[in-house]
Amino acid sequence: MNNSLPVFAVNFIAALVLAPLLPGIINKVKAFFAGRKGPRLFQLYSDLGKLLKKECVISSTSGGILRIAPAIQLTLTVLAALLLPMGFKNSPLMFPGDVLLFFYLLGTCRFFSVLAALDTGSSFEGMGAAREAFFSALAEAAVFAVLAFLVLFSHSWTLSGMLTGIGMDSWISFTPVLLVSLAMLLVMLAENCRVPFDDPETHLELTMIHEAMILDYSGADLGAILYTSSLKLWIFGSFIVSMLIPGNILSGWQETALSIGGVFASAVLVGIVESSMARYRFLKVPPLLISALVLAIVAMIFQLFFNGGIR
Amino acid sequence: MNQMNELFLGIFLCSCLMLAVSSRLLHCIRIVALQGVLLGIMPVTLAIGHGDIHWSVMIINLSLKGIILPCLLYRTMLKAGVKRELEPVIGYSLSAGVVLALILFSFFISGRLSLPAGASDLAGLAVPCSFAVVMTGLFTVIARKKALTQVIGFLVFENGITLFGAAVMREHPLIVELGILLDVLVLVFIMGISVFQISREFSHIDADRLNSLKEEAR
Amino acid sequence: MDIMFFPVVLIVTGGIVSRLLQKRPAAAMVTGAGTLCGGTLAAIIMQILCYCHDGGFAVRDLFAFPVLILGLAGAIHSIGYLAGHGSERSGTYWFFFNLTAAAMLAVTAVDSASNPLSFLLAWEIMGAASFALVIFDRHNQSACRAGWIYMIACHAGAGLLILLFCFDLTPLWVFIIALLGFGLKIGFPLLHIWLPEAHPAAPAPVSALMSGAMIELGFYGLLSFGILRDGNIALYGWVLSILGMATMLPGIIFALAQNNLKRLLAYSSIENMGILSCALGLGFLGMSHHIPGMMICGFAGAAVHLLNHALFKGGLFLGAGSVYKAAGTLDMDDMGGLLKRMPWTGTGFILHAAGLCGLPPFAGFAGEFLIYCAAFAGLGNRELPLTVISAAVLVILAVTGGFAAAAFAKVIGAVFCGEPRSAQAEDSVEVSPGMILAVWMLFFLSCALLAALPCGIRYLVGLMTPEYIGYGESISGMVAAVALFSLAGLLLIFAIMLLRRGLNKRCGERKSATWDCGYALPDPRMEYTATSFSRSMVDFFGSLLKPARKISAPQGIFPGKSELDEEIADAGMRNFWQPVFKCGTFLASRIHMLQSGSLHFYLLVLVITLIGMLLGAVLQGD
Repeated sequence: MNNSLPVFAVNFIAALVLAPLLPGIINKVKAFFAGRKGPRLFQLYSDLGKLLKKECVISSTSGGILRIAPAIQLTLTVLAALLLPMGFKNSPLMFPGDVLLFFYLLGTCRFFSVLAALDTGSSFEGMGAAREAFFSALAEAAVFAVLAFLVLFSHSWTLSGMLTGIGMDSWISFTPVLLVSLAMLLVMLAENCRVPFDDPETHLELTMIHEAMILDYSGADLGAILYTSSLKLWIFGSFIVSMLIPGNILSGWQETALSIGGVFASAVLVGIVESSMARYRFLKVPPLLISALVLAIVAMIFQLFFNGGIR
Repeated sequence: MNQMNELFLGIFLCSCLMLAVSSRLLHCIRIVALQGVLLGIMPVTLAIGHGDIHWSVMIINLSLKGIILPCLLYRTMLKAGVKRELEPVIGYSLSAGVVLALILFSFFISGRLSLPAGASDLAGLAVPCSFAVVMTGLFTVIARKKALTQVIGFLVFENGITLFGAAVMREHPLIVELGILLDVLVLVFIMGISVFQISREFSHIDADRLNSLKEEAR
Repeated sequence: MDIMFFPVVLIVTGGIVSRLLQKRPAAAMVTGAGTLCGGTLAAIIMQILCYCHDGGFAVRDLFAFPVLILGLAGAIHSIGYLAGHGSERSGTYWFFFNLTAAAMLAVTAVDSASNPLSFLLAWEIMGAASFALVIFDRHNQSACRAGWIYMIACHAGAGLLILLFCFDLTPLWVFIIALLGFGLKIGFPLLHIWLPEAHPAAPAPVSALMSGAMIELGFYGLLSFGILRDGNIALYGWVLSILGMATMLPGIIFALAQNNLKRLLAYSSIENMGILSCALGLGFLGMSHHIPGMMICGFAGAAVHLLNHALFKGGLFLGAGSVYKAAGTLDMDDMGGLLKRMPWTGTGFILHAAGLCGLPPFAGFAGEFLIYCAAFAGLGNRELPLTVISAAVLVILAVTGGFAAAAFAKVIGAVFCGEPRSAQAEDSVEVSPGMILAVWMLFFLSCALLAALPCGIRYLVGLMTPEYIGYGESISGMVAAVALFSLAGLLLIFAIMLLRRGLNKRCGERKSATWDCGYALPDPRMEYTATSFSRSMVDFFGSLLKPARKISAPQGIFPGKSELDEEIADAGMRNFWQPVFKCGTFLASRIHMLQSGSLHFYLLVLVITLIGMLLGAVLQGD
């Protein structure tokens, strides 16, 4: 594994550079299903370029959290991405238990995005913040049930070990892995505020979660937020891809292509999900998140009863 | 083919979960149909490596549970004009939790049961799964108000019994199986007719309002 | 008694002198605060010198630390807190405050194994003195009610402890009685009812001391008296971890629903005691099943979480006191926009809140991290029950963390963000520097704790269980990685803020009204309040919380005043204690019939008793 560090570095940089493509892909897929032409694939890049040049307007109500929140979110998301295995290569920064840090870093991002939304004093943003806080707390249960499964499955405490260490063996009994991937897909949709949990394209503020929370950002701040959410999408896509595809079946650079292609495929999947179903009523979101938890626990039961040898 | 069976059982459990959280009757009917189809296929995958395939059971299951009964239910739903379970006795989030508890309980309890000698090697997983399906079915009957959902719960209950039989007994007691099927068929027919009648008379199919038909205490 | 004897005497003496100087409040304050600060500082220095000298460590040092730190911070904070609000009675305040702190210090300092009587004495003084502080605001009806509930809880606990010391019991019974007796301090479910009453009633520095240090002393008592070496370690583990889970989740759900700032913090203390109990439980399970990783992570997690909770919750209560001082209310619906008006207190409060939620760049994460790691270690083994409990702890802890973040987002949002929703909040100004210092001091200490943690864990593991030093090394490596990541995160955030500043200098930055979707005049009345923030969550847990809502909805074309009043009663109080008390009242009323007022009846009772006794004597004689 001499060349693992450069492969990781290339993949990491690819993630940073290519992440804004994902919303473009999702929108293209949705446009395809709707029979429209849709925005360009590289739309977010142009948006970001434009936002960086724009003036920044800060709410006069804000006490300062609004100003610092984008920096916190951007930084912590990038740090979290550093812990994720990229291109099926272990992260050079991995340490036992880093998976907790990974999810808690994302949790801190969310905490500060909620605070920043409340900082503006806008009722719409308060609404979005309340929903975000509620749903993400429930999603946390599913996430940690998935984690418990991964620890059971891979006997590893590092995120890299959990995701890349599974290998071909996992496919000998694929049911638990499939169940857990389904749970993780639900979590991914919830955490990234996609349909069926939230509709990123709605224009009615009353029905939004994430979009309602960022109403008051502008200029470079809005750019940082948009970029961060696309990077978060990449992180979760990459998580699922590394979980599902066993590493070490191809040579180094082919793996890179496979992993990046896999992330794009996950974006296509999200696009298909979004085109094929509507946003759920907010009352129906908690049952769905609890379902994700149940799926992960059922996966754990399957794993325990069959591969753990415990009766 | 053990993998295949394991996957089927996994889908079975997922379908129970979906049944617990879905409010649309159409979804519930689709879930029952899915379970019926799975039950139809399972004898084939179970029998590979063991010899005989009970084609008769398979075809009856597939056609009756996978196609005919769901169609009947769908027709009843259209006739009664209800689409959703609006006010369940137990909310959907709690239902998901209860189903989880039931699944855990079935795994707990079936680990302590002694299985008959002829049980197939999949029984270790199939028995708890079938328990879970049975209990989810009963739970659905308890936790939902609409007569149609209750019928669906009953069907799921029966699916669980069939699953149990299919997984545990290598020698299929065909007669028993057919007997149960017949029962359920009659049940669905009667319920279909009565739901239609109830909805025509009362313009709703909330079964719990039938309580008011009881004799007044004097 | 050991070296801690001298600080204790100094603090108590200061308190007494302060009480004698009642007529001159300024002198009383100087004496009281001076001796308390001096005593705690001296004790801290003596502790450090002791470590340097012989390097020993005992569990009680761990529990003495919060007492000392919060005593110091509380003393500094009290000076500002009392000004203009009870300063004429400052002699009384300092007497009881010093007495409480000294008694708590004595609880940790007496050699409890050989001298249970002095432990009991210190424990009783601690309860009684803090009772006097809870009802310090003596004209307030609700404070007095809270004080009585607290008094009853204290004495019920002390009664159980006397039972514990007087009889020679089997380890199981010792554990059960200690669990009940000390559980009354800790706040296990059903035994917790005094916490949400007493904490809001007491002055803020007292709440900080009680919540940050006193309830943790309950664990000290449980560990020193309830857990016996020849007892069933596995049982301790099971009970504590299951009890912990049953404490933390309801605790945080009730916290989430509160609108009184200090009441919310009190429920959050219950939640944190649940986490602590869970960590200890995992540690004991690891010990009984011989899983060193689980044992070390569990106990280390418990220790770190204990210190974290002391620092952060202490800071939060002090911050809440500053907010109360400035805004004159504890109802979060009437606050808002305080961050702009009191930036130092507000920032300190937010940092403390993030720390208490266990979010990464702060020390709070290290404690939760270790507890999660204990659960991981439990998952990796081959025993089904242990795997199940570890997975359950993992999931419940995660949900609790999520809702804790929601609860503190609610606090910060309602108190510090947005625009003020009442005239008092509008006029609030930053509090005195001493009060700010007390809050920030605790935060800097938590940062120091995070920095010292890797070395500390390695050292302590080497000291306590030298055979597992390898595990200690790897765990301290993990914690060091967490600390380094936190540092890197903070530096990177700083760098990006600089970058942003440069960018905005080029492109311009201006202020404008909040974008309210086209509405031109956003008004504080339109804001999301504390109640509305938690509304959907309260509804989701409606069957547990049973919110009592009084709504007068707007009606007609020109609606008049509309109102929503939401009250959430404690479930333990509502479902268990009130029926019990009702039953007690009923029985008492039956007995009350004896008091008819007629002399003949009393004589009759007397005669019947006499005859009964005589008969008894005769029958016994046979």
